[in-house]
Amino acid sequence: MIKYVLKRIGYMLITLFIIATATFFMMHSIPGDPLGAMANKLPEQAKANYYAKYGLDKSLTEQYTIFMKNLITKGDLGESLKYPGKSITDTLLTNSKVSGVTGGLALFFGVVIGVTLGIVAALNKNKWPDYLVMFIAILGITIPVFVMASLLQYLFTVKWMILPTTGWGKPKNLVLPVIAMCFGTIATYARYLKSNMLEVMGQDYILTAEAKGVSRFHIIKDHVLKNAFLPCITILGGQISGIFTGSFVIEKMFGIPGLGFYYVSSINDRDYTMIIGTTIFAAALFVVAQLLIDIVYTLLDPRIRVK
Amino acid sequence: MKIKKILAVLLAGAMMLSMAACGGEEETTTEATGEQKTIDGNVLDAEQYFNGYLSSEPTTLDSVTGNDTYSSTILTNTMEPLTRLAEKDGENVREGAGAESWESNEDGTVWTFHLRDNKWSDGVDVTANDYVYAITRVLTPETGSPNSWLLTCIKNANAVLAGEMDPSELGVKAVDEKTIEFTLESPTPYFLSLTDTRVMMPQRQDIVEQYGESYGAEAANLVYNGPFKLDTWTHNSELILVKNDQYWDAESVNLQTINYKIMNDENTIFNSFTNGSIDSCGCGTPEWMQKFEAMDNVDYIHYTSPAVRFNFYNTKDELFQNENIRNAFTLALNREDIVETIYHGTMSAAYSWVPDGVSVGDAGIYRDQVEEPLKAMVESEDPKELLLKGMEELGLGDDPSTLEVTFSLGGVDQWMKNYGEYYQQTFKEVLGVNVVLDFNEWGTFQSKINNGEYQMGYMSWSIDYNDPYSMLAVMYSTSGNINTGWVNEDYDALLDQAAVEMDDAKRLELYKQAEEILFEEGPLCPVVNEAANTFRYSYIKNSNTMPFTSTGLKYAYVSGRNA
Repeated sequence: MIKYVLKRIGYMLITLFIIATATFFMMHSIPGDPLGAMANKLPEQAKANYYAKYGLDKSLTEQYTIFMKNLITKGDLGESLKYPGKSITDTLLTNSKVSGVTGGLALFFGVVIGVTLGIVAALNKNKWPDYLVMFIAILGITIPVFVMASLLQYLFTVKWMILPTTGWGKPKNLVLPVIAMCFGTIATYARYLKSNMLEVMGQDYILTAEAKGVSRFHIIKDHVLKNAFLPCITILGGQISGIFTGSFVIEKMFGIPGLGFYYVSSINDRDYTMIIGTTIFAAALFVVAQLLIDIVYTLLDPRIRVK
Repeated sequence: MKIKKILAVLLAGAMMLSMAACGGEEETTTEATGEQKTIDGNVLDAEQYFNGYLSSEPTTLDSVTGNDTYSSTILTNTMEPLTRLAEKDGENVREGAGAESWESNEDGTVWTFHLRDNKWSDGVDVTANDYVYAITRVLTPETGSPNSWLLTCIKNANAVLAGEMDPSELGVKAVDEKTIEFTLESPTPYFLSLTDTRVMMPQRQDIVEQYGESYGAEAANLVYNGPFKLDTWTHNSELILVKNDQYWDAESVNLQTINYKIMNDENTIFNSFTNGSIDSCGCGTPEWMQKFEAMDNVDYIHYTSPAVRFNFYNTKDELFQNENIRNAFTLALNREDIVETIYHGTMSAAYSWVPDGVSVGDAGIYRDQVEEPLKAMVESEDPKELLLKGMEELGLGDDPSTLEVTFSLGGVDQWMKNYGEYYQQTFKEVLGVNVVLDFNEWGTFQSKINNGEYQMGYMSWSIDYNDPYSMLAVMYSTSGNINTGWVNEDYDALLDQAAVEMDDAKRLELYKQAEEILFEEGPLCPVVNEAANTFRYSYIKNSNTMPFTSTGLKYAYVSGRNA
């Protein structure tokens, strides 16, 4: 097991290195540069001085060598070109925490409510609770998150005036974004769990258990749910790494100082250090989450064992 | 409660009148109770705060290395420039700020500023050296300041920026603790209008050196000497400014707190304004404008901003090398229709390159005295004829439908798509020319323009300081600001003359001639002047309504927020 994990970590590092390198050369190949994105007004001398300050006057390979050296030897992602004096590492850590809180809560409520609804729907197949849950699920999947967010914002902050429109730091600031974000998650898990449960419930071993006289409660708890949960873990992995990278739309609408903003703005701003920082961060989270999921799998499912 | 308030207002009003009758000069009076302050007959609320918003996070509060408008908003309120442009009876008046008085020698090449006593927020005295230090920093090549070009009028600035001379040789020095002397390369008529911008804001050497690269990146990483100081900066969320008690004119500052939320979603902004979470908002969306106009406690502030949205032509292009063809495309547009169709009446049609509101020193507003060049052209010329004439000159036959023109735009959103399609249709209808639209993300667009890989483009340009020179110099043949490839020696010569002409009336005449040349040859096609469309709750008093005003929220106050 330990050998397996170590091997996986080795692969992860190689993956990250390749991603960093590819991102570096890809972002430099898009036309434009940070200064151009800021203003086009500058005379040559002012531009030259600016490029020299940020090392952008050097050749691409030289810039790459410096970047990699700092990253590998010091773990330093450098400083933002758009926001002078702002360290990329600090920005990632501070802002991902903010995104993590919002996204984490949304995921938590989404999974808990979604799973509950899924169970209710599966146990009441083709009865009204099933139809109700599936109706909610369809809404959750089809209504775009920004429409949901706009609606909530209008109702709660303009019409009824019971919650603040934007802001960060107080629990009441979290209510609307969390609701808006978890709606989709609820829908996903409700549908997923329902169909998984129905599938498991049709298996022969459930019939066997029923024939042996096992109570319905124990069949559901010990046999159905345990097996139905397994595929859910796969999607959960991707979502867990996603909560730290934040949601651009939701963060923008509710004024949440998360990381989502930087993913989009850094590309428009040609903020090279920020682009590569955010990309490596997202990639690292993703590969770590995948590893954890695989480990959890081996613990839960005796059929999958690492040799 | 209501009655009490009304009574208080009446009382205060009566007091004001009696004060005026006595010939009292004081504008501000304090009631006998010492509780309520009154300005212009308005009783000030006990709670003095302003809630605003910024559309984006300020990049840095280092006035030298940043150049975005968001940080400028904060800096105007927290730093004291040498002078400020205030509003008095609907006109801009330059008043002393960091400097108490100033004078120049006869030919305008040496300027002396006398500082008043002021303190930094940490209690240290503000000295001439603080200003000189920051200005020197702007011009030091290693700083890489994007604003350095604004100060190239200072003696030796170009040589220092190029690394050929030591910064100590710059034409700016502290004569003593309270006196700054600028020596300029040559007379610079617009020099005073730079003294309230961020390039001349002071910085404390010890603080800059203490924080190094992170100076200005956090609220605590700098000190302030303006009306307010930054208390809290939650990145990408909120900035909270509080009154600076160390400020020399703290008496005139009424607001105790200014909250700037960072918001850039239209719905969020308008919802926040509707429920009163923010006191002011900019809005150009018709549905929302109607809604806000219907609110009776909201003021609508509308003025033309000194910014132009325009099309421009690549004069090195096979087709657009011809001036008749350029003018045909310029005159084919119905600007009034564009204002209505695209901007819903929120902007104004532009028939000139120098926008309204820009003044030539004491000679007054330039546009009040010089007719917009395109106006006469629109009436006398027929775009289709010009096009055919141009095609003949180029030997392209007489069928416009054989022409295909690419129109490059720097945006990919829906607005830009509609915008491009409007032009496509107009050029087809009026000129019979087929236009291909080329939508680019901003960075790509810029690099295309700079490499001359375009035929016709669209951009906006805003003025940097209050003098027509700021706009006209953009088209100086070596400026490279807008890569049209247009070169005209007469134009350059007129600008060279204007640049050192201290006589305002003569300078105005030179600008007029230059602008005429610009439109005869037509490398640019102004379309609209941008406008500020601000809605503000009427309980916010004394806040600015003019584009060049640089007093920020220094004089603003709140009266009747919860009435």
